[in-house]
Amino acid sequence: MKRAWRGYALIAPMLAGFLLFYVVPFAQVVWDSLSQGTGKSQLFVGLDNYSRMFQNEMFLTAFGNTLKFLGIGLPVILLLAYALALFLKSQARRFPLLRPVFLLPYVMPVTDTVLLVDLLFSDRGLANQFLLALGLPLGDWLQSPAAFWVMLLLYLWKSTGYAVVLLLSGLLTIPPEHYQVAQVEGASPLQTFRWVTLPQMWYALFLALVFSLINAFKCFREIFLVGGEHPHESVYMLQHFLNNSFENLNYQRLSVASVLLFLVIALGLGLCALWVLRKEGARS
Amino acid sequence: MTRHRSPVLRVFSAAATALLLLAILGPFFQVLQGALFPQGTGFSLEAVYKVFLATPEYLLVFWRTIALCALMVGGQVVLSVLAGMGFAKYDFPGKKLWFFLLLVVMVLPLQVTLVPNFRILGTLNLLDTQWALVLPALFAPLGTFLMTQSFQAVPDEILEAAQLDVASPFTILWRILVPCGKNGLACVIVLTFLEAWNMVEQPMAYLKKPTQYPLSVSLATTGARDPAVQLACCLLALLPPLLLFLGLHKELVQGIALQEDWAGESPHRGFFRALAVALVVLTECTLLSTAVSREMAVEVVTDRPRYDRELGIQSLPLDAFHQEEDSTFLYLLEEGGGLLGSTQLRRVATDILSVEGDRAFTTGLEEQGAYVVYASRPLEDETLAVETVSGDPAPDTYLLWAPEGVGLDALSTSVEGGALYLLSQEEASQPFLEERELAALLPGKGESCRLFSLGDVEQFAHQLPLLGAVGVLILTPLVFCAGLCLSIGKRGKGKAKALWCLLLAASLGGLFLLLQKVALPASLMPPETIFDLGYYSETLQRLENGLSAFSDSDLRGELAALLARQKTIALAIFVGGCIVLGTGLLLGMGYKRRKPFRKEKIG
Repeated sequence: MKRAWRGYALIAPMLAGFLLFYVVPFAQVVWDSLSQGTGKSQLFVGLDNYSRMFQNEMFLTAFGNTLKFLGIGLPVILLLAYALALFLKSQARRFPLLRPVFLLPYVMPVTDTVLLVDLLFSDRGLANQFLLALGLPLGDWLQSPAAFWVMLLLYLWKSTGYAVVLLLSGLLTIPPEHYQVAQVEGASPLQTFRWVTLPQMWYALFLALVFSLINAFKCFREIFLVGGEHPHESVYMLQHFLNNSFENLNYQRLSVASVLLFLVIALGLGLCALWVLRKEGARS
Repeated sequence: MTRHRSPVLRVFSAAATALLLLAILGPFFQVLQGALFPQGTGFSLEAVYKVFLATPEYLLVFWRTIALCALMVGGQVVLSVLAGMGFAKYDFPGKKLWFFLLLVVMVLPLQVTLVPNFRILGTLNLLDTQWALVLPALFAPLGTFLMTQSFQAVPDEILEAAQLDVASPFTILWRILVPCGKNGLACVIVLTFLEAWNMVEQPMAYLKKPTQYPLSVSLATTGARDPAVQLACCLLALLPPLLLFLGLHKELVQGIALQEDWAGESPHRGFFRALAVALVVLTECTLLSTAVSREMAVEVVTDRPRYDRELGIQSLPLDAFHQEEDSTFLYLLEEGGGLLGSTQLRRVATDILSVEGDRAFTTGLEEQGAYVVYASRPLEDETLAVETVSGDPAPDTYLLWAPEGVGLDALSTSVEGGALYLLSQEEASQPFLEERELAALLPGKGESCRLFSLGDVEQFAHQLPLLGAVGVLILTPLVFCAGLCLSIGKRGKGKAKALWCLLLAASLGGLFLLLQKVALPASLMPPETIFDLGYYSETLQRLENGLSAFSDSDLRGELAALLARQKTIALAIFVGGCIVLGTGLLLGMGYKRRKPFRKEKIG
């Protein structure tokens, strides 16, 4: 009993602030999203706000773009990071400094990345100069559908390293004996990967997915600063929608967007977690 | 497996590694290159000068952001270490539920938690204060997650053994858990710092005034327009995360991978040295740039436009209109410019409709705007400016250098390329503004002339020894910092370290106090940078020529002697100080070398 009391005492400061700043206000936000008006005249309207939100074109664009970004970005970053981790597995032992180097883009401040994107992809940026030198038609990078791919590239450049570090450490914890056994049994590299590497990597892969997701949402602030308040339609993200709603303080809209985003993420991650738990359970 | 690789594969993998490195490191070099080699020109430190020395605003915002980040990192570390210990090493009802809740919120993006945070901050009346940025970040759940993971890796047996030795929970935490969980701790520090350093959404949502923004947003939204200066700002923004990363990269890689190894601690000597040097240099830059921007602020006289109701046009003195590159500009004195809301000049393009006497007519001016008529130095867009407070007129003597062809009825002597005139004014308006006096003396022709007020020259001469001392004091902290760096990483040098730190603080304080005393006359400052040595030597040359040519009066003879004497004193102070510092440094190094030698003898 004494230990329980101590445990609570230790987490109390953190928990108090956490409840105050995150959990309680979130309940308020959920209530806001289900009601209309403010103060005492706040009335429960059920899912009215939600159905109205799904008719709002700006919101649909923003939500769709965000999901598209995640839908393309997450698989690509995981595959890329996996490939790099496999490639680097031998190199990392030889050059221990390689791993930190991969994290370097991650520490570049947002100001720098924003300016770099401008430097590379503005009208007279390096990308266009390169095209000019080759005699190809110039591209309008940031004010066309290409903006989406530029931002995806930025995300990959910044956050792949993080996933690589996670996956690489997962790879390095697989006992070398397993590979030796596979070799003795005469397994092909592909078979080794399928039956030795993959089954032991689900947890690392899940962690990489979670942190890539966190990093993807961090990347939206770069998109926000690069594009300004009214970027090209293809990169109009939830970020922009929220910010514009902040400017005219539309609580209902803000709340509905927050809750919807929460639901999507919770659902997606919950499914992934179940899948990984099942795989891990099968392993042990 | 690696052994069986063919050479082709090896070459391929090496090439791929090189390509990867290029892709990762390329942008960093791009920033460096853009800041130091502006487009079209060669190597130039101008942009770096503008950010680090010409004005303190970037550095002041930088320090404020650093303080914010330190607060967030410190609070987050304390809270998450405590909570991590609670979650990892104690059992209590509801533990799993709370931890799960933390995990869920950890994964949620800012976009979801921004609105709840905004609501509660509004309720607590904390919006539009810096606390709005700090408090929610303190309780972010990522730190607790990482610390719990790394504390869980510490075997319970160690803790039980410690408990048998009657160690209190805090001793266990401080002596066992924290050293064992250092990778997780490093990870918390770096990730929280990055998060704080890169805040974008929170300031924009919670703060109204752009002057309250931290560095990340204020550089991106209100920063300079010159790309080279922007890139130099980027260097400033890159410095702290890069330093932290280089110092903690080993722990960070392990910590991110949620691994702990209890191999011996790495010394981090280089990291602490780099940190000390960066801190000292940036502090000095802040002190210096405060003084530089104060001294280099343009002194101006302004006028408000007069409105002509009948014609619907406005008029200003003709001298307020500046001709530059085929177009006409006015300079508007504006508050709230730059990152900190200082009083700055803004260049406005305009057209002269007609001229009547000494006034010119135009339209589209701001009715209550203060437009610069005369200034102490050539004007530039976005420079700091101070409106002069005119004092009582006093007698003064002017020395005028004019190219040939300017006939003036005064005592004169010809020098190379022009002539020097001596003008004794019985009444001269104070403070001295070169442009205004030239306009009064030589209407329309004064552009290529230089006018010196001997009163200002005397003030300058009195300041010279002070400048010598400032020069020495600029070098002193660097020398002490070198001493500190040498003592870092040596065990049992606690006293020496404390001494060096004390000396460092004292020298920085001295520099600060001394810089407060410096008050250079604005009319003798170079137009662009304060370190334009060519300008000073040219000015001094002309002054000496003039003073020696007109040395018939006692006053001017004395002034010439004073100038020469003060120059020697300043030089002597500077050289003497440098010699003292150099010997001090050498002695300090020698003292350091003797110690291990003695130990050997004893052993």
